[in-house]
Amino acid sequence: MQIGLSRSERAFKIFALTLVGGFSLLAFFPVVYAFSASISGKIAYETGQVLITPVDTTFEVYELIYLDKGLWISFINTLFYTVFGTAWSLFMTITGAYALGKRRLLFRRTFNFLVVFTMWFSAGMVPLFLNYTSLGVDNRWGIIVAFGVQAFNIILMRSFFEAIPHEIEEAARIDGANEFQMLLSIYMPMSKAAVATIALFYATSRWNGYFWARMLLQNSTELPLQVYMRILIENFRWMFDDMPPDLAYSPDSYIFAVLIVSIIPVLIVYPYISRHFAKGVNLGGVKE
Amino acid sequence: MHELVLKNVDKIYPGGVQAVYDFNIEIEHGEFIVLVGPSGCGKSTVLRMIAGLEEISAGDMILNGERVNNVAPADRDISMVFQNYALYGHMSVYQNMGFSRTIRHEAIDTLHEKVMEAANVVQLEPELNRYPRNLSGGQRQRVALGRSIVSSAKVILMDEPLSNLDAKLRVESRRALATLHQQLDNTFVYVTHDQTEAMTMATRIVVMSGGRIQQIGSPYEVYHWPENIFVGGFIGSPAMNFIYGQIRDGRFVSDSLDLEIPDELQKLVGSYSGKEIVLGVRPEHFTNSSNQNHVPISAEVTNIEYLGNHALVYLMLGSHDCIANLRLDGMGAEADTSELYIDMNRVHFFDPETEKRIRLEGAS
Amino acid sequence: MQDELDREQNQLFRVLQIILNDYRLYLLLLPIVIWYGLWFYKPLAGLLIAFKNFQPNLGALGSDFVGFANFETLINGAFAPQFWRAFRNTFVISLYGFIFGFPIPIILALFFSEIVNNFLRNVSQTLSYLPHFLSEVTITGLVLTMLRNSETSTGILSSLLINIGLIEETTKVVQNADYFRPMFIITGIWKEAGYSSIVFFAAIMAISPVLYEAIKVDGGNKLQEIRYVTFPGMAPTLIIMIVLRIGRMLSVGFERVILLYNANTYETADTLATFVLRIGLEGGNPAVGAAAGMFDSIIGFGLVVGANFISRQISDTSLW
Repeated sequence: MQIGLSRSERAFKIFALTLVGGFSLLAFFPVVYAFSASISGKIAYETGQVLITPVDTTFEVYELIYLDKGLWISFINTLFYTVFGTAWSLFMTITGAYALGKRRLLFRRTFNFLVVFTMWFSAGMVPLFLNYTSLGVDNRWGIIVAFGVQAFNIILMRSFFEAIPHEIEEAARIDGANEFQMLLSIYMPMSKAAVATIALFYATSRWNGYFWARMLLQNSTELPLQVYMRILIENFRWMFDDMPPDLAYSPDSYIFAVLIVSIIPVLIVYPYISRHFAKGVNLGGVKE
Repeated sequence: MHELVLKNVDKIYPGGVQAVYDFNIEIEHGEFIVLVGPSGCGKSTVLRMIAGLEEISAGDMILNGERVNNVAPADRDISMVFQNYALYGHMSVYQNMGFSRTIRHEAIDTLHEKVMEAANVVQLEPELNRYPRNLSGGQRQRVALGRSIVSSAKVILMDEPLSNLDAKLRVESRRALATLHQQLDNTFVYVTHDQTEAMTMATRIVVMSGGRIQQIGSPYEVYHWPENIFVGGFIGSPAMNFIYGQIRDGRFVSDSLDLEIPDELQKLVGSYSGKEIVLGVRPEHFTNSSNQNHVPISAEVTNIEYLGNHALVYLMLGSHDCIANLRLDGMGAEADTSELYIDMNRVHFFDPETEKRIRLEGAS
Repeated sequence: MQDELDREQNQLFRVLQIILNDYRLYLLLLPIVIWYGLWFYKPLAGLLIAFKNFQPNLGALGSDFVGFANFETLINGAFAPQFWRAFRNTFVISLYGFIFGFPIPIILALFFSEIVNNFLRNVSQTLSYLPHFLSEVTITGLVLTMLRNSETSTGILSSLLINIGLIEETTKVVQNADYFRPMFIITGIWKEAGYSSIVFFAAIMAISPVLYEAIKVDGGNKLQEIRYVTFPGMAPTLIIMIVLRIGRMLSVGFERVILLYNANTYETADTLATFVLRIGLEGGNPAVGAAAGMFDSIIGFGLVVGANFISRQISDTSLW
């Protein structure tokens, strides 16, 4: 394989590897740095000694985090939003995509247009907000039900379903499957990869959801992690800048530690995500 | 009582295109019916209407004495083998075969028994735990067949099930299907564009063209007694040769031909005296041996293809391109084309206007 | 007349019959119909308040109709300076984002495709995608903390910038309007460039290797390969991505703006969406906010339609 490579070509390849390698390491660097900074000592951090690896390692900051009840409540809230929210979004997406993909559906083009239209137009923040409040979206279940269905994912799912040969559907119909059985025991298992991909899309967007949760949730015990974290970041700055307390670690370390707590679950599922999503993204565009 | 009856069935698509005109057939239990015709002739549409996958626009379909026009596919006593087999990719061979019973929540024992029985019939016992993607084309086709057998439907519909196989396997599968039909207590309705498949397997052939039935009959009948020019040309390979000419003084006359018509056929063409007529000659009814019924012709040989035991001789009969199929006797023999004859006892005459075969009143 | 009525009734009856015969399919459609109706199409009716002197206690229907008065205040009334500033900022940020942000994923994809070693390529791709899956709060939290410059501590990025002489020792990047746009755009590149490269990478991978062999045989060098094989091969993808980009010109990562900006940086940071948020929801002027939002939506939609139209004219590629 390598025989045909000219000298200039090899140089180009090495250049390419260095460049993208550098970019990738740089992209990942803040995460590493945040972790190291979170467990470094106050003096070491504030005098700029921390670069990649921790200096004067202390886990005291994580002890404080361990005691932060609000953080754990919001963490569990986010788990709740992610699990139930993803399930809800998947249910809506799969049923909708299945129906919208059927040729025989009456007004099929109209329905499909009405879904696609939502990708390009929006009523705007104010009418949306008024609508949410008027329909009582100010609690856990409201956040789960009123958000999370994305037209793009419906279209993605639909194109997967449409790619299943229609003879399969006819065979199943002759075998005696009704519409629900068709979806559950033929279409869904046949598009396992797509379902997994879309589930991961939804799960990450639920895990990361911030703005509307902050705008709408009334009860502070229902806040998701992202909102809790942001409030912490906003308040911490003021608190510590005006009156730096005497601690073994820098106030920044606390923020980094909280950020790390929010990143860890993503890192845990990331290997699964990265295996799936590239496929999903490609299929969205390439599928005819 | 007939098992399956189609009476005056039409298919008109919503756009107004009519795919099937006035389709009539009565099928007995245990028949092997082959619908054959060129692509777009409506044969698949008929099959899909029988399956219930297409609505019947007009007419009746009667299955086991009941009108089933509006019965769902699953509730008709049918099953189907698709051209691309339509196997469920995420299920093993066993699950594929059993699906029609699983979906109806049947007891595991009967299911298992039926699947094992069918697997035995289609010789798939060793493959039951494998997945369709790991099977060869022939095995997939047998899974599709097995699925139909498991469903215990009386009528098994097949839509060009052999067309995705390579030539050699197709020949084997043809024989296997015919054997299977004898073995099973089912009615087969089979669609193909391949007249060889029709000829080799069918108990009755339905030749279709342009959405209409051209002829229904046994392979023997449609071959030797084609109803019209279309059937004559479609069934048999190479196709029947058609020579346009006239009847003059009891002789068939075309631009360079002047053929004597045997006495037995005189009655047939009598009323065509002085009129246009079409002569149909099968390639094998050209010969190079003289005989009292063999009428000599003068033809220009343009090409000869040697095929072992026979040769295809391309002829110019006046302005007509014809193909003759001559037997070769003895090893390495060359076709003797110095003298050529037509076996006039075996030819057919067709009416150029109606394209129907000319026959005597009351005779076939 | 009666005939017509009968025919209509017949038609309705037929439709009902089809639905009833196939009721399971329509049951499956029902959830998203309700969902979009409730959460997307119903609020469209709420746009009515853009034309009203909206009083929350009177409701959208009960409030007085004021015609285009709300748009007047935006375009040349009390809110005009802020509105036009937001409008300008939106376009400027978008444009910079396009100029600096758009080519990078393409270059990344090109270089990714050059890495022959599968393991190295997978690792570097996987690492570069990661920030996409982190939340805006996390990403901006990291950026803000690393850019901190206070009496008590100096973040690593601020120290770096001071050391290479890009900023003064006392400059607070986060609080300085001059630095908002670079900060915003670089954050965006960090978060999305790797992930955005997937689409281009897939397009490059789909090019037949035979073409590369052919140009090699013809004596082409690397640059000519890219010029004559790679770019033509990924052209449809490029066009679609540009169309999408133009269509989304007005929606600059609005969450990221809220999370990165503050009162000191409104001058360069305030975009239409954040303006709507501050005026409409936080500032107690929902009607004006709705009007600004509507303005935003309509121009945005116009951009999508326009970009798509143009792309269909110059190539066969279009979104619909």
